[in-house]
Amino acid sequence: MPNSPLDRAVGRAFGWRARAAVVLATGALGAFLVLRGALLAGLARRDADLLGGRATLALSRPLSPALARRARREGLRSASWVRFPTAAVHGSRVALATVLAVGPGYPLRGSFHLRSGKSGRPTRSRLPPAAGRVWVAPALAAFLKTRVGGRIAVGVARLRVAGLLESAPGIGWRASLFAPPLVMSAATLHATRLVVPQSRVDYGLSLDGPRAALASYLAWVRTLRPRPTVRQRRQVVRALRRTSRRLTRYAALVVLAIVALAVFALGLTARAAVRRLAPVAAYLIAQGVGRRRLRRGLLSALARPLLATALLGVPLALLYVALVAFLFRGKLPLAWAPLPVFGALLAAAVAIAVLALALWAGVLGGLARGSPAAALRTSRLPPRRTNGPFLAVALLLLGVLLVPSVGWRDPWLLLGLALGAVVLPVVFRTGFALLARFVRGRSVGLWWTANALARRGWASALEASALAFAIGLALAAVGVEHGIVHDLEHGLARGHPNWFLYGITPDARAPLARALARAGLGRPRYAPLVTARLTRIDGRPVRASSPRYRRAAWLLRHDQNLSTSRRLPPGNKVLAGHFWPSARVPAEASLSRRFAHLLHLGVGSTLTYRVAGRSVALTVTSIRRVDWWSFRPNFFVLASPPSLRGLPRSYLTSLAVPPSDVARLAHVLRRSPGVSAVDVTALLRLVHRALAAARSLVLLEAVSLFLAALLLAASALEESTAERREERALLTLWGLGPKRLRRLALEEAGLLGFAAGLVGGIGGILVTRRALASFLHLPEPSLLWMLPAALVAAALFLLLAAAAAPRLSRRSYAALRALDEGGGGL
Amino acid sequence: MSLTLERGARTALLGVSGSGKTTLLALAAGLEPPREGRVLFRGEDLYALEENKRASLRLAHFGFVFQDIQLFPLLDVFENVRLPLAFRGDADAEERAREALEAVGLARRMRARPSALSGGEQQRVAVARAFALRPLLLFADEPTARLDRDNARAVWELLMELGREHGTALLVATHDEALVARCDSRYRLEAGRLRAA
Repeated sequence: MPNSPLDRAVGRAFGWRARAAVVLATGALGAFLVLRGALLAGLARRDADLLGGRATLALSRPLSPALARRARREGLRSASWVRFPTAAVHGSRVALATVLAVGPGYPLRGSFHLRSGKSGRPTRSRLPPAAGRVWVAPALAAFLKTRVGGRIAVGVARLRVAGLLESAPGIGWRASLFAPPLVMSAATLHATRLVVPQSRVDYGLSLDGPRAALASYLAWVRTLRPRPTVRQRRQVVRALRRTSRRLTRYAALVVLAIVALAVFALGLTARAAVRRLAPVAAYLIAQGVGRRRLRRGLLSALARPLLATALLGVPLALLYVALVAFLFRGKLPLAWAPLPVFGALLAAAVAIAVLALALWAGVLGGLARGSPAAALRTSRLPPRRTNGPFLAVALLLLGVLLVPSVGWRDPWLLLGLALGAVVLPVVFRTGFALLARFVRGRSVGLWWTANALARRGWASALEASALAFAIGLALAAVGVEHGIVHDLEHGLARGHPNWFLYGITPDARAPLARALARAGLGRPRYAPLVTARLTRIDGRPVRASSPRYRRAAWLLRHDQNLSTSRRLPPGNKVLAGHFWPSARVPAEASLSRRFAHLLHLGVGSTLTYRVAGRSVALTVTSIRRVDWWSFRPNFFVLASPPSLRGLPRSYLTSLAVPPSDVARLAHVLRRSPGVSAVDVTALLRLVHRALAAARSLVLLEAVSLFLAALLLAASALEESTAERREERALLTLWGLGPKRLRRLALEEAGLLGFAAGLVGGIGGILVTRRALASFLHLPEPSLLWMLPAALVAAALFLLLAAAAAPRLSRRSYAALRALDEGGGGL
Repeated sequence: MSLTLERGARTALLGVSGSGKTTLLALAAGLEPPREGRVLFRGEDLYALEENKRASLRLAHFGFVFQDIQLFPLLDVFENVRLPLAFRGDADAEERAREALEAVGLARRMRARPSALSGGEQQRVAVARAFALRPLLLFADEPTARLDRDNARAVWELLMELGREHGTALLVATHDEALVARCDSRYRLEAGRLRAA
């Protein structure tokens, strides 16, 4: 039926709210698909550079030459490397860097990606830099204020920067976030004199060759003692996939929320459209147009405007993508290719158009059912039969988006989200009904308001849920960010140390203390660091692959740093058991709460460590709460002093160095090449920068969510506009003046806003508390400000929604005439 | 044209469709300002009052019954009758709503939704609503047009009783001859002029 009355009527009924919902949903989904594709492509592109070979061996002591010899015998190629964090110095600027010093032949796979300058042409190299030269990450060069051709001090050597390093095999993108890479050849490393016995250094060997030979070689390696950590390419690829899923999960959930809100708004606009289309449909049925033909006509009349509108969402998606790419430039490995971007945008537009078509066709399909009279009757009240399509779309969203984004592995989160989405509207609907019953007979205005919300049923409940959800999420985002910044600033304000020096050998302690004292940087207090591998818990061997230790696998695969302390360190609090009363107590351990939780340990558990070929057993006597963000030296495991006596160790110290004294510290560090330094202030700056990007992203998402919720509220208003107009016309007739009617409308909006704000505020507080306490282990700042903030946000939102509500302030007679449109009467 | 409604008087307004009966009712009820002329209620010009005050006057003294019954579909019968009383601030709203529903014979259907009632029952609810308000003036627009003869008669009797009990003046626009016959005075609206019929 081209250009039929139905086409024209559908075109008119498909109003700006429906179009806005489609554009918003397409924009959010399109941006998500494009960014996810770019991230996966970026990670995949680095697949080739992973490990610099098919497998690596790593150990915290020099590797035996027998390993390379055996590899050659097995027909494998090998290349050695050394990796460790250290301080790079340029003038008075000191920055933490990850040094990768590579031997001949490295990398066996992949290549170094370089640039000659900020805007220089990208090049690749399969050879390390020449002796005396280094390649540095652009972030490191920027922080040190140096460039290609400049010289930086690493250890005692002054090295020329020969190129800017975009990526390097063997250095993950996460490592490069906080300690940007610096690549040099093994020959150059000797000149720095950075690596001495007891240095905290990873010694590694990359391997490549036939799979079978590699498998046989690795089987042999696993019999060695001490056993090097083996990493295979396929493990790293799997880990990368997991990381990308984790990175995209949060975004997927937000996108799901935006799409869900927009799609439900779209559904409500469809319900409003039923009223407009009912007479046309009834007329067509009465004229003999078959129901099947009518249904087909509705579909074809909807398909074109829906697809065209969905395509309008593409520019919005591109805008989102551009903003996110700008915010996270250099922080995420994003790779762009026109075809996947185009495909993702098209897929998003088609998916949203199909979803919207299914919903609109499902709702409008009711018009093609029943008799013409029944079709006409649907224009009087919201047709209850349209709830089916809503349910179907909700299930579709749950199945297609929520399950894959959250995954079956997290059933509680999945269940919580699904229940939250279902329970919240039910809670609001029941709450409004109970409130209406409770206030009946007390105040007619309040009763009318509560009753209005109750009798609008799911429309009000959805509106309130959307608002509460948006407010809660936005507050949680701000609350978590506020909690982190508050703690960081609070911690720094207390004059806590801002530099860590570590890798200090026993012999270097006294000279370093003298040098620091001479430089006016105070006398350091050293904390011992003993590198140990956890082998047994309560006498039973521990395996990283065990499901029991799934969340602690990283801890078990790596060496841990044990330390000792005579008394409970400042900022720590004993939560269970007791801290040793004297420094003479043997073989006791005090654990951080997180460590104990990850390994299912409690007071009385025993831990057995392997340290330099010796076995050390410790009994847990206390569990501590540790203030990690105080930037004091803190340890997962503290041992009573006698338990680690006689074991090889290095030392750690921390200093409070004002910016004016950094040059003096740099001078001391240049003369103490074995000592590594971490500038907490620089680290904090990086954290702040990462936080600022995350905050902007959260803000962008919160704004999108808020827009979607606003749209849903406006659509819910539109859906109930005819009903409201009838009510207002009657009330006008009875004798309620414009002032009183306005007050009733504002009271309804206010009550809805208050309920949504209260729930959103409480939700925001709970989510923030959980995020700060359980995930970030931060003390919680006062969050009570969230409640008034939520209510103010709700009030503003509802005022906006009320202003957007069409034709609610008609004069009395105009309203009465609207009432007449049904035919006859006054 | 000039039309005066006395307390307790029943006035019928006749005229073909489109002659302006509904507009005249709206003018008289203070709902549509006239282009010229005045509407006086107890000597006071309705349209000289501010709109909110005019609405308060309507709430205090006027009642309405329509051809299209105009009940709140999502409120039950009792609430439909009680609500205008409650908005008026009557302390005995519940009692009067109950009495009015008993008077129209719907005491047992108080908790039903309007959609569960027949057309005649719905119109009786509308009359009960007007009844409970005990207005000085009741405007009725074709109140029996959509009812069968028995229901029409029942509604008409109720309206008459309202006038008798509370001295309510009734202005009714109708084509129903039986109803017209029961009125004290009759006017016909033709070509914009009002004539005694």
